[in-house]
Amino acid sequence: MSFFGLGQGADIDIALDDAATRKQAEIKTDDGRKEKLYLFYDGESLTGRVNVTLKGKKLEHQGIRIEFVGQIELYYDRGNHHEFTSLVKELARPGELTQSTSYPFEFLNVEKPYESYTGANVRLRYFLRVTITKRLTDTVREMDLVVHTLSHYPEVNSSIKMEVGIEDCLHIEFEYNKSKYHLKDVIVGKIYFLLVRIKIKHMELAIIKRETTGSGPNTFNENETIAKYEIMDGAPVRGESIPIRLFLSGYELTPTMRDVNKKFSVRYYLNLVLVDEEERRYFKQQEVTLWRKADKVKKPLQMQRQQMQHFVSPSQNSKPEPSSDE
Amino acid sequence: MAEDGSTKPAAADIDTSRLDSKRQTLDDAYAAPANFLEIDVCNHQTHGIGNKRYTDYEVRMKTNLPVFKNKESTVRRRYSDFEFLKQELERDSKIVVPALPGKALGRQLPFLKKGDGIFEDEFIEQRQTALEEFINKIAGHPLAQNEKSLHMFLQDKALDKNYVPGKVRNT
Amino acid sequence: MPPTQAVASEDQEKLLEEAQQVVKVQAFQMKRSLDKGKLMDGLKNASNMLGELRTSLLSPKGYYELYMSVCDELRHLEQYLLDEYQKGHKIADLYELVQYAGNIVPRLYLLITVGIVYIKAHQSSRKDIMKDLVEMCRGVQHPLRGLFLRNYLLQCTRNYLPDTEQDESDNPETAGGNIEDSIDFILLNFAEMNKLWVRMQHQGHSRDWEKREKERNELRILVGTNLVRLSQLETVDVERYKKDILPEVVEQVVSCRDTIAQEYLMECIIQVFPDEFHLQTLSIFLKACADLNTAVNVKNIIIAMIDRLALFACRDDTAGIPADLKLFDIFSLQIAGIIEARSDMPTEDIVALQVSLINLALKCYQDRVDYIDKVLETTASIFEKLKLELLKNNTAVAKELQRLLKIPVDSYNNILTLLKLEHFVHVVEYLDYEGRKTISAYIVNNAIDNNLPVPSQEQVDQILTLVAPLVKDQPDQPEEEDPEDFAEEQGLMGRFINLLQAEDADQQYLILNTARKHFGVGGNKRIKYTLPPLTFSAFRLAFTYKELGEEDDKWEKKCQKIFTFCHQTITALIKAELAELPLRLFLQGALAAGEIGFENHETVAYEFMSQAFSLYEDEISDSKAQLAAITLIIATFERMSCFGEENHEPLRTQCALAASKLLKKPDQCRGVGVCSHLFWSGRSTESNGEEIHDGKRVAECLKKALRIANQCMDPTVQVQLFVEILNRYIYFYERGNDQITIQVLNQLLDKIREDMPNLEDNDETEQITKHYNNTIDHLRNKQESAEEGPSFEGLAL
Repeated sequence: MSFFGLGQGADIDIALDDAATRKQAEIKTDDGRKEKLYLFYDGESLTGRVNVTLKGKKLEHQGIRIEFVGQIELYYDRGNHHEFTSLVKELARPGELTQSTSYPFEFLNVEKPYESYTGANVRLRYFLRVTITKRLTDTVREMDLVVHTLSHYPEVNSSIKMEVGIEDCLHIEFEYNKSKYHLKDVIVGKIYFLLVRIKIKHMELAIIKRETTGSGPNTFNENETIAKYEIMDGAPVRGESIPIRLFLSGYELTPTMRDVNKKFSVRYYLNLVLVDEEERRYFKQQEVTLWRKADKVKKPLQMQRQQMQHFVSPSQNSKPEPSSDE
Repeated sequence: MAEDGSTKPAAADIDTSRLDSKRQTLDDAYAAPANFLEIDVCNHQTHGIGNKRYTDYEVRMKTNLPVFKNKESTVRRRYSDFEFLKQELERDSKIVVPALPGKALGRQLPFLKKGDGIFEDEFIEQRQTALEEFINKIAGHPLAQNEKSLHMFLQDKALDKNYVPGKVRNT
Repeated sequence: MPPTQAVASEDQEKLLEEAQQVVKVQAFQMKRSLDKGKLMDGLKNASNMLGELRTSLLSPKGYYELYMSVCDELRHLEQYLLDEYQKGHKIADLYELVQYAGNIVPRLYLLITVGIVYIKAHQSSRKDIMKDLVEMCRGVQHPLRGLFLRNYLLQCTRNYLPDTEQDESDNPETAGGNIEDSIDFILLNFAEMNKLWVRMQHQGHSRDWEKREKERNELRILVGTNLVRLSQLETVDVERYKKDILPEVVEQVVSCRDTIAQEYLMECIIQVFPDEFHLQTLSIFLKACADLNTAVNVKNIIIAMIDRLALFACRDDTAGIPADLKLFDIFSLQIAGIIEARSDMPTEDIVALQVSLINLALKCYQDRVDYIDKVLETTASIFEKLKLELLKNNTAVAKELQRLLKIPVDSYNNILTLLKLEHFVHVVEYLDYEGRKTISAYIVNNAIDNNLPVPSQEQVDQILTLVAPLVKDQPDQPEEEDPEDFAEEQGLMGRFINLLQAEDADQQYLILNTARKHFGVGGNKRIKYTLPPLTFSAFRLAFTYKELGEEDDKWEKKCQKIFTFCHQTITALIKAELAELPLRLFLQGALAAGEIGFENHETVAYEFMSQAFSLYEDEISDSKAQLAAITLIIATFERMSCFGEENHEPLRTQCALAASKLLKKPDQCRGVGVCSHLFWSGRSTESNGEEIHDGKRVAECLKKALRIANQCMDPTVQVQLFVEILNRYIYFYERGNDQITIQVLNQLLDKIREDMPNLEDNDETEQITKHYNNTIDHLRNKQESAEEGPSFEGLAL
């Protein structure tokens, strides 16, 4: 970095005022690892200090500033970042630093309209960036933050109830107790069998995340099965009612995001799949809305939940047949 | 207990919520499953001599599916009839038709064939098993069940290859 | 391949072994993880282990073994979780945690395990967890896997079901639900298991149906355990059983329309619930029986219930059947309903039900003959409705019916009690000839064995009507019968007649008349067995009257009537073309009349003697028989002393005449020899009871005998006759007949000595020689002894 500066370098450190008490949250990085970052909510202020530690005797600069940036990165469109938020504070006018210096900064009541998100084709991130502008190469320091968007209990949250089937072969009625679930919620439901003329082997409920990026002809859909949850073993007869209870908090879910900054959407679907003895799959997808509610999660439990669902998801020993019917 | 909607969690820290459901009638509970369908391919027989020599198989079906006109039927079919069915279904329905057992061309070439060629018992038995698997897969398919070709194949004494293709509605 | 494809048995073993191996390994790792306090790892291992129970390849038997291994291992997990809780660790989250398991079978096993731990830790949650577990198990619809899963649920909850009336949340003992919750829980589980069990028959290819049914039957205990649990609930009383349990259970049983399930579960109900409950709910139970599948052996079910209650009634440690409980009536009514409802019930089963009813009545209501009769009446009326033909012997129905009929016979051991069963005979009438005869013989044998007198005319009439097949010809009787059997059965009747004994003589007379009427129509083959004992019985009665002479001034008239009766009866035998038998009876009658000595007895005795003579003359043609008959007549006559000379003389003469007219010379010889005694020891009224001792006539007889003997051609026979005559001479000589001298004896002895050596050496000769030597020895003794009496001096020995 400071190859040309020859001892002109400096270390930049961003220290939040409430670093000791601020909650942290996990998020996936773009290379798939997870990291813990400070968690912010919409409207919260960011205050702290930028510590510039000189490596040499002095540092000549064209100005020092700190930015708060919210941006959307589309992976297929590398380098073209859409910033939807950008706030700047000047920390120092152009000049020369002769000793390590600490600058306080403050972004008050910052609007953070979207949730941080790392997906297959898109990332929405928030970060603080300190830039020491220099003639040749700027010295930059970024600090990623996580933003969670909280919602209130939805005013309308009707259950999902629907009769579906294949004429004269399979009629079922499914019911999920709500259409909107918060991230630690429990999906309670049931499947009621009205007509069973196929040889069902088992039935599962999958949570599918669909990430949509782009628009028009350049729309990309990326489906990811978040959970695969067997809810019935064997073949029922008419009148059978199979209970569903699916705890959500163990899965890596985000709130539903619709048309975020006209760049992308993340939607969730419950996919009810019946598999017959010939491994034919009959399914029905139903969108549900996920939202984040402020809560206090016991951390060890959260970890265990995730462990549990990792080791016990259904074995994928059967390849779905390409033809599926609804 | 609530008549509808989910029941309240029990102890404060345990979630036992479920949706109540209507009680299954006893008639339904103990009814025989409505998905009975069983096809045996058996009793292979080889007829004729020389060029006209061929093997056919008994295709015996039992079912309680209303879509089939006869609840029991027995017909005799040869390999080429199965091929015909496959071809009809591939043309008329959207289903992916499973593969048939191979044609065993090697066994049919005079200079390659050993023993009795495609009329070896062991070969016929294997083919018979494979055909049984094939026809069971197809017949259980809800979309195939709408195809006239399947019904004709399973239930008409003679397979009329000049039939008029179409859909079956039989309920 | 469909997952239900049957797997060959050798592969079964291999599959099971592999699965067991996985269970072993995972269980080992589970325990190690738990020992290290790594709960999550332990759960993971448990889940892997439970994954083996997802298999569709094992037979029910193999699956059962696997299940047992897994259950064993799950107990470790349960214990660990309990220990953790006691150490103060929170376990609430586990109930949610295990529900992240992706596969339903492992998930539910874990949920049950955790649920039970939670119940043990927080009893107040019991009700909700129980309900939750039993409901969530609906997710497993695969019959075999579902059955075992729910069995695990039953096993785990075994000791933790609420068993109190009240749910008192502040009382740690009774919080978390009450008895109703337990009942609901088990009933729901039962219904679901029964459903899966019944559905099992449809799993797989129809060609394997029979094998599958066999396997299914082997799993029945899994379903039955629900009923066992219900029966173990202590708070359940009769009322609750009647209101909440039994109706629900039988509704499932009836509705499932499955023969295996119905037979087993009904049996199960009988066995697991206490008798006191059954007593109060019989109608419900029996009504359900009427609704069972036609293929169900309802008979066995009802009989099992009856047997159980009958046993209960006999137990000492119970109060028995409550007085207000009309047990018999209930069974009777319900069984009638069942028979009506099940028109295709085999007749033998119908009868078997009646058999069990009779058993019940006999065990529980020993005095109620009317109950037994009611059963018989019902049986008869059912048969009537069914328009049954005569039941062929050896058919199932006939056998069952005979069983039915024999029960009261055996149980009463009293033919008179049996007679109180008015409808007994109506039921007997449905048997064919063989069957009726068997039952009749059974009754008669029983009467003889128990040796109880039949004291009234009416009873005799009833009995002989009842056992008519042994008394007279039947319309459906076969032409030919085994003569030995026939003789045996008629001999039986003869013995039975001895039981016809009234307490007073007049009654006895009526009895004899009634019996006579019945036996009289028995036909020639039968009366020879029955009329003689009847005649003897009549003779005995005459003797009785004689003894009653002082009390009954009409006794002589009555005796007269009796002998008239006897005369007629014996005459009936003559009409049956019998001769010797009536002859003997006449002789016996003559003896009796003579002995009793009623007014007119001499006439009667004479008549009887003369009848005997007529028979002798007219009917007996075989020479041997003739000799025997005349010997008998003579012997009888010799013993009689009732005749005046006026009657005695012609009879004597007739005897002598008859003897001398015998066809064969040896017979003549012997006949005449026998006759000689008449003139010696015969008695007439004139001789005042003293023997007449007509020595001259005796000597004439013997002389005549000698003459006849001389005419015999066969030297052996001749010598034999001589020896016999010698003995008669000696007899009379010893008794002082002066017409017989030593000289006569010597002559005879000489003759014998002369002829004897010429005889051929054979067995006969040896016999004769022996007889002769004995005679000589006797004479020698007489000669040497100093006894009083005629002297044997001069006898040349």
